Amino acid sequence: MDPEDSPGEERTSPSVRSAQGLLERVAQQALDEDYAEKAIRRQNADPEDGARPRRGKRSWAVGVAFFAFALLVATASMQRYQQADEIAKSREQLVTQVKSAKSRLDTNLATIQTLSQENEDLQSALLADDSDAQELLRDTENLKAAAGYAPVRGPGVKVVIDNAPHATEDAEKVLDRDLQRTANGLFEAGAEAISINGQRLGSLTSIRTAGHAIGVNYRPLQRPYVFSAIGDPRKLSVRFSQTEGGLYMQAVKKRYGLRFDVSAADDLEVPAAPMPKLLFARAPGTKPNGGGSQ
Amino acid sequence: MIAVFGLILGIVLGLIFEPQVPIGLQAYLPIAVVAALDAVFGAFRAFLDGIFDDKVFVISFFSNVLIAALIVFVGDKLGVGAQLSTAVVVVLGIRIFSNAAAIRRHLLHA
Repeated sequence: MDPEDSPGEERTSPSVRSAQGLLERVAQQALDEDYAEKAIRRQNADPEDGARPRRGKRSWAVGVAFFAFALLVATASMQRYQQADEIAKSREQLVTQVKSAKSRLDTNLATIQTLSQENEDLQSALLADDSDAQELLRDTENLKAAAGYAPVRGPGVKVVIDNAPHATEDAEKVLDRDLQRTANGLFEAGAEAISINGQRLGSLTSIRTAGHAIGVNYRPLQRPYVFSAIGDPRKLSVRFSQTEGGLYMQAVKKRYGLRFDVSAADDLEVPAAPMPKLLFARAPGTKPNGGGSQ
Repeated sequence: MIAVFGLILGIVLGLIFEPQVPIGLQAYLPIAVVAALDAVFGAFRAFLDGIFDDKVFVISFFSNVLIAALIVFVGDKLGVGAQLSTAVVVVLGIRIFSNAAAIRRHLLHA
């Protein structure tokens, strides 16, 4: 049973040898031994009849076995076929559901934007005569712009980051880390407002990988990643190249071939970040917001 | 003759009625098919060897299918269903291959 210990097999370990023996044995005994035994017994009992198979009512049993075999195969293949069909169908359904949900989300976001714009217009129209209120509104606008919740425009720099051409490894692709360090570097260099692909970095904005995409303000971004940073264009680009983020991106560009371009721009538009709803945080001396009880 | 008739009838009935396998048994169907294939290949080889025996075939066919399904069932209960079904498929696969090789030698003398 065991393979013979020939000199050439000394290097294989006992377990490997026994595994080989096992597989060989399976291959050698591929035919049920009962067939041979039965043939020998039959020959012993009736040397005339010998190896010739007998015919009789047992061939019905063979027919039944073949019937069962065919039924089994047909059932199994039909089942696979149906399953493949169902999988394709449910996949399609999911895709259409995702698409419709996305378009609903987009229309809702657009509605929100128009409504809040309308709100602001109405507010300023209502308070047009009141000079105190006018001043307050202006203050609010400036505060909002500084905090990232009002659109702003001005000169600055554009930073474009993209995967290395024909990137295959993860290291050659843009990671959330790269965008985080770039944003930090730009702030460090004196940027007053930053957006990535039109997503403004506000006080509650995160930059992180979600699934296969990098998300900012919970919206997935598509490559290439374009930073718009508002500030003094010359100072900003010079200082940024000396920040940790700028140096890091230069190193990544050199080593992995990622695209990383910084250019000055005369007029950049940075939109507002989505306004977060504060449920627990409140300014001292004010009443709780109450937004959470709705 | 009866065997061929049974084969055709089985395929036709299976395709027409598309019998629904209970969900609990669906995992065992592919293993049962492989086990049945093994028995059928063995029977064909024995037929060519001149030692075919209908009783041996019928018993080996049904017991093969049942035991293969049973092993996987027990493996599922023990939490090693995937590994045990791999083992069953490997062993039966090797048997089918070597039986097919013997059949080829018989038919093509090569």
